[in-house]
Amino acid sequence: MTDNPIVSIRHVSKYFGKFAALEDVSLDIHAGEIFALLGPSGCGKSTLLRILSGFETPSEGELLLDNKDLVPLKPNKRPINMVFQSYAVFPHMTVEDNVAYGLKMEGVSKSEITSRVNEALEQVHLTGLGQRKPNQLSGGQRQRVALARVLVKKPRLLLLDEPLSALDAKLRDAMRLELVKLQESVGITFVIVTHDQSEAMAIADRIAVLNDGKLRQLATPAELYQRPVDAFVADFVGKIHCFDVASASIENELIQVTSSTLPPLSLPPSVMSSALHSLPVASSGGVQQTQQSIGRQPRSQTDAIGRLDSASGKLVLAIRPEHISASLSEPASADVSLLGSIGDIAFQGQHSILEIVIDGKPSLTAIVENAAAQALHNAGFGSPVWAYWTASDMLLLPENASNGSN
Amino acid sequence: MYSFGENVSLVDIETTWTFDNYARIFKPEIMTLLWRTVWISLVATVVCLIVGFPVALVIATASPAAKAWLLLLIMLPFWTNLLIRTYSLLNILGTRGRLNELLGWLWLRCNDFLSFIGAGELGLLGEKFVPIKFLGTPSGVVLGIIYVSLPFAILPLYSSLERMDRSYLEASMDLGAGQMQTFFRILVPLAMPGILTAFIITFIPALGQFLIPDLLGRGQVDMVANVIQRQFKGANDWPFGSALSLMLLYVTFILLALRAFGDAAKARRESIR
Amino acid sequence: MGVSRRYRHKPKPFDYSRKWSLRSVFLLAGLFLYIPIFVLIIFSFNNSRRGGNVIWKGFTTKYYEKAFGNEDLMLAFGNTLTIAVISTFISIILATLTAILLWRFRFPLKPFFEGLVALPIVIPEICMGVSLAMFFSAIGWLGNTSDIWPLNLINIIIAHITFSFPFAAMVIRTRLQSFNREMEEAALDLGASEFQVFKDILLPHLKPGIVAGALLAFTLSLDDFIVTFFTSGPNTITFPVKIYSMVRFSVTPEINAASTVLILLTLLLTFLALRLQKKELDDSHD
Repeated sequence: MTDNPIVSIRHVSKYFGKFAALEDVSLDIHAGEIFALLGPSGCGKSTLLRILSGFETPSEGELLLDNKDLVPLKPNKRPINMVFQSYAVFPHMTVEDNVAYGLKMEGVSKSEITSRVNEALEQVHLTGLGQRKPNQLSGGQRQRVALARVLVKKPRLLLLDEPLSALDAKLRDAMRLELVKLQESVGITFVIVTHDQSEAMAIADRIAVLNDGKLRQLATPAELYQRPVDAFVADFVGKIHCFDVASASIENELIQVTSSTLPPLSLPPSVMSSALHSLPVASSGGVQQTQQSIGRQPRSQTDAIGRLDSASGKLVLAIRPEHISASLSEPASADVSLLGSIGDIAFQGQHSILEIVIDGKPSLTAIVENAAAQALHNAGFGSPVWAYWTASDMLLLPENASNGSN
Repeated sequence: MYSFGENVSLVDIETTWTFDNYARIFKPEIMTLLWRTVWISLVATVVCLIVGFPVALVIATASPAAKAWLLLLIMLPFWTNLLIRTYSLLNILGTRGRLNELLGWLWLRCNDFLSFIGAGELGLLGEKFVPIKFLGTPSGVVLGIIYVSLPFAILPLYSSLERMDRSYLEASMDLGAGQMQTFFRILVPLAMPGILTAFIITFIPALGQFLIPDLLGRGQVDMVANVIQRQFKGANDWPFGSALSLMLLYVTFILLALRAFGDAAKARRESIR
Repeated sequence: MGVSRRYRHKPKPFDYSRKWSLRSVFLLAGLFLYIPIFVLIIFSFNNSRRGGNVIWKGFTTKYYEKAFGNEDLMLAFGNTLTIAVISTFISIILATLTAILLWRFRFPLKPFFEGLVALPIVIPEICMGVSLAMFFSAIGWLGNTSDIWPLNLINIIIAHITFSFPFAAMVIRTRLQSFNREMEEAALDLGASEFQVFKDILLPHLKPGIVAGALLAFTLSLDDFIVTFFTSGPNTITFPVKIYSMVRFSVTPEINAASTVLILLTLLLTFLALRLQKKELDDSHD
């Protein structure tokens, strides 16, 4: 990845009347990466995509492509092309004519069109189907036509709007891999819009999570999963259990947390969300530095939590199911253990998912090995079970970090 | 283009429309005319709906391949020139026409049958077959209007029946209703919007029918349009003709407004639910 | 072997199309609609001079020869075709533009304009005829405006455009509703200009609607009697107007023959429309 961004989005906002579809979004897209815009429906990701393609104009902010202003360029003049959600393959043209359409509009010579169209069809494995009409193709094939149609133009940026949502599950998995391979071979920068976190995780180099028109977090898939910036992101990218935090303070380089549902805990500073330490030490630099400097600046960290507590509401302690273990006898040494009863056990292939009922409600799920699951199953529904985990696997997150951190 | 024509005609009427023309509409012979127009149209429309409903039902429940053909079969006459269809009916309805020929034949057969069972002497069917006079009578005009507007009535009925989910009917039967009960309590109420559309789409053009009362009525069963036409082509009393045609226009608008109002009220009721 | 009972195929409760009672209603309605037309066609070949629609007197085609030899009738037929062709052509251009305008743009009083365009569809024909007659008389165009063909037909052509273009616009608008806006954006995105989008994407999509609209406008123009009757002068005669005056005069096999020709023409057009529609549907089914 180069440091020089291909696209810079700076403080972009978009208002539809009073409704803010995007609010002060800033991000850079690097050349040659697969960049995903992830968020629930109505989060603003499609608006951002339409701003990139030129069908919407930002209300505020700057949009640069290769350091040049992109806003005044009309969609048909931008070196940016899009694969539409409905694919929008022209029904009255053959596959070849569809793929050739963009080149004809550029005024490319006939012989060049023929060779480039053939090349593009080969790239998407549609060689030999050039004379077909779109209604003679399957959904997956039509998507390939839409892809070939934009690849053939060799755009600087290729936008894909929910590219896999219209395909059935099996085809979707195959197409994920193929998209990644295709991107590697053509080297064009891809921007993918999706609401499916597993899709984004599987495909993208970096993911921007949006909600309510705001950028929540921009990170690699692993970072997003392991170090989510707040409870929304943590929950959006995978199943997670959250516990309310009553109070939190730092003593002896450890964070002391009390909660109504968990025993008092001492946690290592690594469990803290980056949103929590970026606030007080913003003056002293980036996130990495802050984490290393925790031991040296305990006072400011304490301040941080105190300030965040009052500023943006509640903190939560969170744990992912794969970190939770289950045992029929009380674990000898565990940082956290909770007594519950066995609920449903769902067989999932290589492992099983156990539901643990606490206080009469299904409260936790744990991922257990099938052998262990068999033992739990034999113990029977409603038998006491201990859920336990290591404290350092937990995350201390604000419920909502209104400003994302890079 | 249209609004142009419409506006000019309105202006024209305003300049000449004294209350005389307005008052003339309420003269007894004109009132008789209007009443005749309404009842003839009404009878024809109701018959169209009663006959059209089962026809539409058959098309709507036929297999997809047959559906297209049956629909075409019904719609084809609709594409044929109205004048020609009226003329073709003229041939059939004459006192010496095909229909009376058919009726006469039926009369003979029935009489034979009656003699066969020994009731011939009772003269139940009259001494001799008397051809029914259709031309120049309201029955002929009603028949003519039914003939030309039946396809018109069938189309909206068909489209509302076609969209209907059969599971409603099956649910009704499942809950213990019989065929007839299901038909009248579920099918007909669900098809009501289509029935109303069919009514309006049949009734409005029927009110304005000119050719049928002219040719089949033989000048003895005039409807509003015939009088309007005479004001323009014969009597040259344009203001009165316009007053009458404006009357017709108002009736049309009132019917359409009622329909729109009903739709809006229904939408409101449904949105509350 | 156990006892097995075989049931004759019984219609399911709601297979209304398989019930004999409903089927017979359908059959009777069909007969009712078709018998007069068939009788008309059959008796156009009847070799009988007067009141020729009652007794069959042998096969002849002499009334076709007579109809084709009738100069007035042929002139009227030519007029009708001219009017239909010209008014259809102009109607379809107007209708396409109107449909696209009403679909594409928002402007004040839009519902009002939509209503205005739909008006001629709902109001009785006689009212159309009356208002057009008054319009032409107000601008002094009622009756014959010119002796030069086809200028002498201009008022009838205008009248026909007035009542047929709303129908065509309605058909085209329906087709527009199935247009996927992403197609337009995709073409723009690939570098097409607004005009190229219209020509390459929108127009091909609209084609079936335009064809259907044109055929509808053509049939309506061909069929029209009332509006023409009100707007034409004594010397410009169209086919339906001519038939009308002949029918009023007397019923002759010649009218049957002429009518049969028109019926066949309409049949041909309908058939053509269906073929085109089917082909388009096969082509652009997505």
